Amino acid sequence: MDALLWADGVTVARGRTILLQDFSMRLAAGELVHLRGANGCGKSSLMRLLAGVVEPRRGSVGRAAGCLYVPERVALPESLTASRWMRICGAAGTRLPGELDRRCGALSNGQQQRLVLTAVLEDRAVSRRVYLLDEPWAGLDAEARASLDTRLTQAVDDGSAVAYTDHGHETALAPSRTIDLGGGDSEPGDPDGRVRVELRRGAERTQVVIRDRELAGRLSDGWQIEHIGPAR
Amino acid sequence: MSFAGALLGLVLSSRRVLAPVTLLIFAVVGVYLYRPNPVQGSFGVTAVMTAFFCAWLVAAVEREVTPAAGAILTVLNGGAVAAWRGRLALVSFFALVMTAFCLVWPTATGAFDRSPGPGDLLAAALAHLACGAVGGALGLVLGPPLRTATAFAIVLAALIASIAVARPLEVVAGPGGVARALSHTPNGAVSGPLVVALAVAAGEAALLGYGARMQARWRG
Repeated sequence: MDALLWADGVTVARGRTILLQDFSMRLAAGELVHLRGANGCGKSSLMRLLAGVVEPRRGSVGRAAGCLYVPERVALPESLTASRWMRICGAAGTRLPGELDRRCGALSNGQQQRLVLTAVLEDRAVSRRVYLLDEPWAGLDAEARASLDTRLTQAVDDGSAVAYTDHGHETALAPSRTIDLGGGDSEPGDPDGRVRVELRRGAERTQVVIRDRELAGRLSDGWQIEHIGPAR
Repeated sequence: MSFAGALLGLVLSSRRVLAPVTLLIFAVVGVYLYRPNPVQGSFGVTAVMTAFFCAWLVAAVEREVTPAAGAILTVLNGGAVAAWRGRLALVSFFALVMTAFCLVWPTATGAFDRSPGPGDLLAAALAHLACGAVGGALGLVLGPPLRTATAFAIVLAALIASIAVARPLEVVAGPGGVARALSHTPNGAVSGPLVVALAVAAGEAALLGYGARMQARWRG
């Protein structure tokens, strides 16, 4: 398969902290790759390096297609208007939903995330792209999450490559490959993203080990969290 | 839209540039308010001011652009190297605009003791551009996460030091050296010491710009 993006022997670091050393990977056309690992293991730093936000200290990153990048914790300048942001991103022709067409400072985190996704994932002239998305589902409602999943599936079908991180297990996408970056400075989490939770609903009490997404289902059923901790 | 254009678009949507632009106008008008106004001496003063205000403007842009917006625009415009070229273009743009203002306003209003000739204007333009480049590059180095007050203090201290050492160090003193060399330049000429001072200032700007790029790579 055609490699759209490759990293050879790169060092991923933040200041004096070396996160990944001599790391290599290939991202081929039509691939949907999940980058996973514990907090602080270097997922976001690797994403920034792959996208070209920063230059690698060692090694090289090559791209055979244009990159589209959405960082985690999106925050746009407060005084910036959504329409100006769209123009700056070269997506002036895209019609924004009314609730997004305001100053960025007046938008919620989820709305800013939607605005950024709309601007960045706008249909562009070149169809084959490398999508590098760092927690893109964070803050989105169910409808927007499903819409993003559909958009990414379509992009992969069209020959683009997608790499994403999803610490909160918020997507229903099935990756074609998972790259595990392992632990970081912090204590590694459960590999399956499970947590041990004590729940209460009225007089009922229960203790379960479940995935984050299943927990969201329990909460919508009226359960309340008494205590939450690591699965192991 | 180019990276520099995108940064300008972001900062123009805020009020961050109002303070440096207003104060620049106030300062330049103030310099020429009372005579005598020798051509080279007055241009020397506004050249050093250009360094300060260029640093302020560049720092204002760097602070307005949030990390997320900066990262998205960097990638949309071709990556880190293209973004650095864009930043340098922005520094050049600010230096050019300020140079034009500092030269045109006093010349057009007849604020000098004598009419400046083409040689005077050329020497002054080069001095302002060199000082603006040093200041702009300093603004890149002192961008976030450094706090605004700290960056402001460092820029002021650096320029005061540059002026203070201009007498003993002559042309190698950076913007202060450029101003001193300009004020000692014969009428209508670009003197040898001024050329050396300009070259030193350009070298300093290049070093600072490179340092800012390496700093960004180090932070990751």
